[in-house]
Amino acid sequence: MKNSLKFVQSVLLSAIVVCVFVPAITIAAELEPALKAWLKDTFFHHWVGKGILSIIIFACVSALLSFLPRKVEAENVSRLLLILSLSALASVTAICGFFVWEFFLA
Amino acid sequence: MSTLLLNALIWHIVFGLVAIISLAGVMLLLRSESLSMKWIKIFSTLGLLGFLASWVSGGYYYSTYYGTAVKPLIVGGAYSWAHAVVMESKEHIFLLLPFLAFVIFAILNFAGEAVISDKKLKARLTILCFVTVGIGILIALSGIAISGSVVK
Repeated sequence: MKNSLKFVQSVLLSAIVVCVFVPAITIAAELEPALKAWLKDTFFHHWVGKGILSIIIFACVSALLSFLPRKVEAENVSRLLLILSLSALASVTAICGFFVWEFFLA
Repeated sequence: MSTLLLNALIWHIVFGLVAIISLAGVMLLLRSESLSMKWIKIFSTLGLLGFLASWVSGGYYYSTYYGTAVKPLIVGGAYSWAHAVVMESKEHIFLLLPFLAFVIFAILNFAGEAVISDKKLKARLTILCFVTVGIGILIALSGIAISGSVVK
């Protein structure tokens, strides 16, 4: 049970990291054409690159946290679930807000 | 549009809807007093597989066809915001869904006992399902708006 909770907590934290990474690289690539060009040149398409990098980050953070020795409690998992929900909503807001700003106001 | 691309377009919608409905099922089943973990796990697995399949099929269509064949029609028409705002938001917000679905899957399959015994954890997992389904519905509605903005 403890190993399972540790894995679940690792996955939760990794998903929160992805919720920060996706809007960050999205906005950065729109503001910095060189980054978008690098993503396209490296991964065939900028959106494909963002997806692949998200997977890599998720997998690496999950693996790293799974193997780090630390104490895990159900209360932490519960708290992280709420943080993940809020992070996802914040990520959606950031992405929508940026493209609305870019098209209508910039 | 080739048959493969047509199938990719259609199936990305179907897989996405399967995922949304499945995770809505998880959310509703979590609300009951006695949890049917067998069905909750099945629906969470379908939710994850649905989003992964939608990612692959939709991603293939988007990265190989949309940019050259569909985007110019939208950008050149009366609803250019449909690409600049709706499509751009949709394609990036979607990237969150497989990871959210994976978390739901992982919690139910690796910490199912905690979900049954801990009411707070169960409630917050229900909230995450609600958020994921909500984002999925937003994506689906965005797809309808984008399709409607294509003028040949």
